[in-house]
Amino acid sequence: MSSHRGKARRHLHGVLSWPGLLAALTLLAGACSNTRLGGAFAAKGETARSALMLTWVMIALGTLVYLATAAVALMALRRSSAHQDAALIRRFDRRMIVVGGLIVPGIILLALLVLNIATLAAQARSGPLTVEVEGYQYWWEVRYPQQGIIAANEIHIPTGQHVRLELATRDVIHSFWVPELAGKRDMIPGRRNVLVIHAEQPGVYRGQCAEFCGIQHANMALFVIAHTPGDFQRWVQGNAAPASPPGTIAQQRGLDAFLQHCAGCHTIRGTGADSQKGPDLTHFASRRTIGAGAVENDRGHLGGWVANAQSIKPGNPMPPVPIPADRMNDLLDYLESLE
Amino acid sequence: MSVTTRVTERLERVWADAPGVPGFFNTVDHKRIGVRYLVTGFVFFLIAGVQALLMRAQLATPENNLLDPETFNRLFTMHGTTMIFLFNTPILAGFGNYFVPLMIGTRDMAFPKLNALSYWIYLLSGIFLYGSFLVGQVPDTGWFAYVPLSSQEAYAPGLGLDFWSLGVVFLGLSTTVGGLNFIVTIFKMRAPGMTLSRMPLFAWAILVMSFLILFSLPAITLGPLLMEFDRAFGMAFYDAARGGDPLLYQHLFWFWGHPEVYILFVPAIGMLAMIIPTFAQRPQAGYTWVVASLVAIGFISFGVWVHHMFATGLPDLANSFFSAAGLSISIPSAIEIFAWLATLWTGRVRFATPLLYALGFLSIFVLGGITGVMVSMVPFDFQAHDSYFIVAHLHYVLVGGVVFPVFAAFYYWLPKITGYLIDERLGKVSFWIMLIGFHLTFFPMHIVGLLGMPRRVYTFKPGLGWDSYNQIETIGGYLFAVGVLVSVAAFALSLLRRVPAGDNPWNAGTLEWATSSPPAHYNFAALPAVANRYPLWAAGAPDPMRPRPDDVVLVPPDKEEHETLETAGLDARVESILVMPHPSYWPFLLAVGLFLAFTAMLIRSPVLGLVSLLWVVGSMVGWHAGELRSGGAH
Repeated sequence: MSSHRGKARRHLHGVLSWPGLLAALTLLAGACSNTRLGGAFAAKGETARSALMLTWVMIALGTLVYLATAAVALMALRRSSAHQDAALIRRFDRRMIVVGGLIVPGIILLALLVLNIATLAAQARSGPLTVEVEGYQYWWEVRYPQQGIIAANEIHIPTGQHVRLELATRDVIHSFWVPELAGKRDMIPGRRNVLVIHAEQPGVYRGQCAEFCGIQHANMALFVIAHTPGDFQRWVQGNAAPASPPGTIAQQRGLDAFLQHCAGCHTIRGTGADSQKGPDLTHFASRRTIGAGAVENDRGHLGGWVANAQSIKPGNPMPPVPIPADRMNDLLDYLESLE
Repeated sequence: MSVTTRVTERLERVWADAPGVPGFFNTVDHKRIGVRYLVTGFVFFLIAGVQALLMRAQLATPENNLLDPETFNRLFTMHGTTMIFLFNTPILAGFGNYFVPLMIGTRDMAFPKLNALSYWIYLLSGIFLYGSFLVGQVPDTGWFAYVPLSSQEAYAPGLGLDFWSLGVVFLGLSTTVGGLNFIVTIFKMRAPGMTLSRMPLFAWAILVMSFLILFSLPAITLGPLLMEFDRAFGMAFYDAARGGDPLLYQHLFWFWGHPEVYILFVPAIGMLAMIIPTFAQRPQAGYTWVVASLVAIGFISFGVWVHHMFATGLPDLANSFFSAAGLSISIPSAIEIFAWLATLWTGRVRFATPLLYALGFLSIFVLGGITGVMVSMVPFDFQAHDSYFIVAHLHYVLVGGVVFPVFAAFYYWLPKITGYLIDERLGKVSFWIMLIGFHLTFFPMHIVGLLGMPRRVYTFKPGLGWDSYNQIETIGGYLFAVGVLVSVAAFALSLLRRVPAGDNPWNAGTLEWATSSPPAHYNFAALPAVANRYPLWAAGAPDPMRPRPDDVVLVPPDKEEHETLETAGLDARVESILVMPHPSYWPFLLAVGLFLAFTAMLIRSPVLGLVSLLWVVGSMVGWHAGELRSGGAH
């Protein structure tokens, strides 16, 4: 009988301690990958911070509940004995069920519910700056109605302010998610959802579409770039202006090529190109990436993207653009001048 | 010739199927149908598993080019669709089909022909859905197929989403018919004396599941049906530009989708509530609590669907209400768990493979329940929603809450079905590999999700801190697959080695163990009468395979009818003798007619539509004409 129980202990010990071991292992893996614990764990704004606080509370509580359940299970297998009085067993059963299944979880859940509502209530605030973000397959249009700015895939905000994002979509459902700043909010046809974001420090915060939206859902990233209020004002002034005119002859030829090959879909304010199928490129050169985070914004990638965006982000709506090599160089010169 | 032999020979002649091909197509034997469900469901489990392995291979490294995005999207869509619709639900129905009549001491389901029909529809709808691979137009918008991505030709061209929506509606017929059948069987065909409060917990669970099916299936029929209207006829149910609303679809989908989680989990509870008492060698602790929790889960599960939609921009007040409902459903689950712990505490525990899988359930599901509480918290869910955290959570709940119990059930009940024991050592090896593989695969997903990795991405960028987690997950996934293969080998070996199991290898207390292994076609020679919850553990246990002269055997000497007893819904008093139908080809033919009808809708062929209509009506006429002739019902 004792070997039986020893076996039981071994079994149970193994069964129930796995998640703990795994937790340690995965954290180790995180450490090995030589990066900080980012995303929702690296909250840099009020909303994300209160969600993170809740997360840690629940992780602690959850671990406690898990270990307590495991301990009871372990004892349940150690104590195995059939030599007890039937009435005693019935009373024991009832106590175990009432305490473990009803009272303890009831108290924990009630506390969590209060915490839930309190956290939610504390999250609803918004400041004077409004930014409209509209999802497209597979990129983001960003508009500042008060400032007259239209941009794409990058949202510039001032630090310390509660910025009101009005979220909409041009086609299917997308979901706006920048984990370091706030939880996600869906962008649904026929609706306009509001999400308030807030960044404590200047920085670049990566986000990504969170609702499956089609073949290139994986490559629909965005960046929120938080500036000090002064820097933000300078950014607004620079970006409210139309594109600067071509400075060289090559750039001029590039603009001509743009008007011929690209203006059917793209806008560059101040040039006559004003179609709105694709992203506004007025200040294209200041962006970090091409194709909503698909590749870095440098000359090599840009050339590849213009020639055949399908080879980089297959299934995105931009068709290959058949431009002769010399004209391509001019076009790239021009695009790279659009600071 | 003894009484026993005379009776069993005669019963055998009355109840046995025709041999060979005719018997294959016209059988209405719940055990044969149950086995078909189990085999078909398991095959779909393996298929969906292979799909998962392909996805894990693609995600092993960032910017991997093993699979193109289209293939990846098809794989995760079919993986989810297959696991939920074609594996989980049907395999539980399979156990229900096989064991509910045995546990409640009767000879078949209440409507054997409907039972055959629901299997054939299930098989054909599975073939229908997988037909999409044959024509190369596979659904690719995820297993919940959100609109307008799925409902408008512009975003989802081709037949892929038509396969999906029609296939889901088609399969829904099977599930609904099956649910009805279980309810009537459980209420009207229990052994004399088996009052509701003596009913085996698995039967209770199947009863609750069946009611969940009846009340939730209309939503999953309507949602995809309206989608098909939008796709086929250009209607605008989900088109915001023309006054429709995409959120309507989400409400319909999750009004079924959340109860569905419990349609899967409740029967799994039922299985565990049979297995754990057997291996603790004592009755289930807190029987009434367990039943009340099952019923409570059934009710509450209809009040939590919005927790899949917190991020859609509903008002905080609405979200908080559903958050509270979502939190409260963990109380009945906690009651089940502590009822099992109490059972083990005061029992004499025997560590056989089925119990190990049941403990594996505990190890996984408790964590799934804790993360379930976490995602019920709205501010946290805003972060976790649609990220890999949810992938982790749902697999902890569904693999822990359903797959491990299903494996426990296979190890527990296969000896009854096949008559042969399964190698315990292989079973344990398989268990440990599966358990380790499972946690390795899914635990890191919690973290990588909160690190910002959304679900359903075919690739990801390096340098985001996601790489090593994904690598571990892939290794774990393949390890899990090895564990499953060891089990498959164990099952196959048991058929080769043929070590007889005997009637009751685990010394269990319920009626399915009173008959032979495998059970005779007629289940019980003498229909058992019951006076307690665990009749085989009580003094004077029934011995239904050795009928005595005064037992109820129901073999009238003058005609060859299938007969069993009808009893009262609450207290199981004998009410009358039920005359059950004979084998029939009509269920198969009707299912084929429906298959043609759905194919006609798929390819929009009026001619095939007309043919299938005539076929379906003809099959229904044939079905009932046979009954009028024989004077029977059902």
